[in-house]
Amino acid sequence: MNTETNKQGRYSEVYQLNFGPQHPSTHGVLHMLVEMDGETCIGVDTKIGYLHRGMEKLLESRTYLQGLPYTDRLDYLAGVNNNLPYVLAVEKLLGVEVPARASLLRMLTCEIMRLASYMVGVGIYIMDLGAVSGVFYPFQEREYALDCMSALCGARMTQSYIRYGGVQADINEEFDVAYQKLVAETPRFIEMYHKLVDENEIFLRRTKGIGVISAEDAMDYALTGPNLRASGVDYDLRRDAPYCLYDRFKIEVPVLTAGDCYARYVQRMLEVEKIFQLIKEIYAALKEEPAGEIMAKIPKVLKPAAGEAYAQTENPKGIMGCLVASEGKLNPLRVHFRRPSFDNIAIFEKIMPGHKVADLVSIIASFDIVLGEIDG
Amino acid sequence: MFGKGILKGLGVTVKEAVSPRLTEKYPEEKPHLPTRWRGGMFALDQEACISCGLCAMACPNKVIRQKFEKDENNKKYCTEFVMERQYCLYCGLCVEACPKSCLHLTLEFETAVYNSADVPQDLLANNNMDKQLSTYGAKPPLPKPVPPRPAVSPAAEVAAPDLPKGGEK
Repeated sequence: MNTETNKQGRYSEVYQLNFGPQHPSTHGVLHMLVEMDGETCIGVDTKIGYLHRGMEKLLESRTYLQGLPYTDRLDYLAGVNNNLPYVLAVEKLLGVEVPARASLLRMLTCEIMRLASYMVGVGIYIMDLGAVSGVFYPFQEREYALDCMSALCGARMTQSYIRYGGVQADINEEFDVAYQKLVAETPRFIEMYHKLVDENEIFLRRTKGIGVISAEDAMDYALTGPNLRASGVDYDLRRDAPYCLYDRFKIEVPVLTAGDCYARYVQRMLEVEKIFQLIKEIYAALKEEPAGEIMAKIPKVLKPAAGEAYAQTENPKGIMGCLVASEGKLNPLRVHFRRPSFDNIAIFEKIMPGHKVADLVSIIASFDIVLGEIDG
Repeated sequence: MFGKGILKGLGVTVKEAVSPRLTEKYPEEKPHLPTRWRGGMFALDQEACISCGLCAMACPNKVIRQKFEKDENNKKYCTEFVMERQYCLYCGLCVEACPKSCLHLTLEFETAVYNSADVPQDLLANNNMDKQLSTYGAKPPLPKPVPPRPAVSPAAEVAAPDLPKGGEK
């Protein structure tokens, strides 16, 4: 117990503060046991599991196709992106070749949902720092992306659109209309949002120099996604280990070096521009692709050969990996997900000590975590 | 000048505040649902149903409760077909699994009920086919003139589905 007198001649004791799980700025139900000395944090113990649904066991108790809709519920802000690693892993076991058109549709939907997920990430970040109007505009923008998805597959968030060997449906006129709306609105939004936030003095003071992560630390703690790139590590799976047909496109990856909370905001906004560019390129490529099969020939009853397969993809939150072990039966023997948010929050214990309570909110918000993914 | 950025941001919010509203005034104005929308209720074309039970087998969450019996011609028929919607994920796998395309989702969205016992939907009591149906999972229509095939060759198999790829037309 710390009983040194402070400047006012009063005793100061180390105490524990329960941060969450019922707290809006914890993005769900993250629980942090924070050791405080006065107003300064001196230690953090992150407690998770309040949203645990046993996702991996659910998948193991169902057939391959039945398990697919459950993967949407991991990172529920980008449903399609979670289908992809599971499907890719099972396809490795099945040894099927996916038609080019289906691959392009997979990429298009994944990029649209990546845009939507970044919108939520940025919007909630600004809202957690007190600017409530900052959340409305990204959510409007996200709605255009979700309209595209609901026109394509009927669901806004939990799409389960990707299937083994292809995708569920091809694009229709409704999708084209929704897509044109998205294309028309996004540049205006990006410009407007930069105007709204970039020079806001309160935002700058609450984020600049807060929660700095060096490139070494970021790599040591296995950070992935925009949080890693904001610390100066140039790594993006879409470019460095391409899956689907990403090798056909030139992926530009912005990299910042500051590694603080502000850099993580700027990183996301820069990436939004690149994602938007990529969406347009993929859509153009899809329109050039002759209409054809969107599903490979796969058996009605899936029984992948015994063995293990691992696939990973670049998700909005970082690298999502999926290990599938099969016994040659109807259901998988073991499914395991490498969930990016789960690995990203490990660094909290390192960067949070030394900051004030308000800065902890800023750090959590800047990581753009999703608790559905952390707890699995 | 301190506060310049805040004023600039306020300018944006003022401009957005007087811009046209995007919200739909729901009870007066019905939302526009895409044709492939999934959610709401189910509809069953009882005449087309062959009581195969594939929909129940496709369901990840055991939502579909079915009972079958056999008539005097040893033909299977359905005596119970209940969608326990309280467990439903609306993944649409049952609709996709139906070999006769007789199970559909509808475009109803006002499905709130007063009593929890009203949530399960008995499709034999009310098949809902008069409602507007969602085109989710619709298979491309079969080619209209069906010529008697002399021999099934792989080339003919490939040429047959020469149809619009969206499937709903």
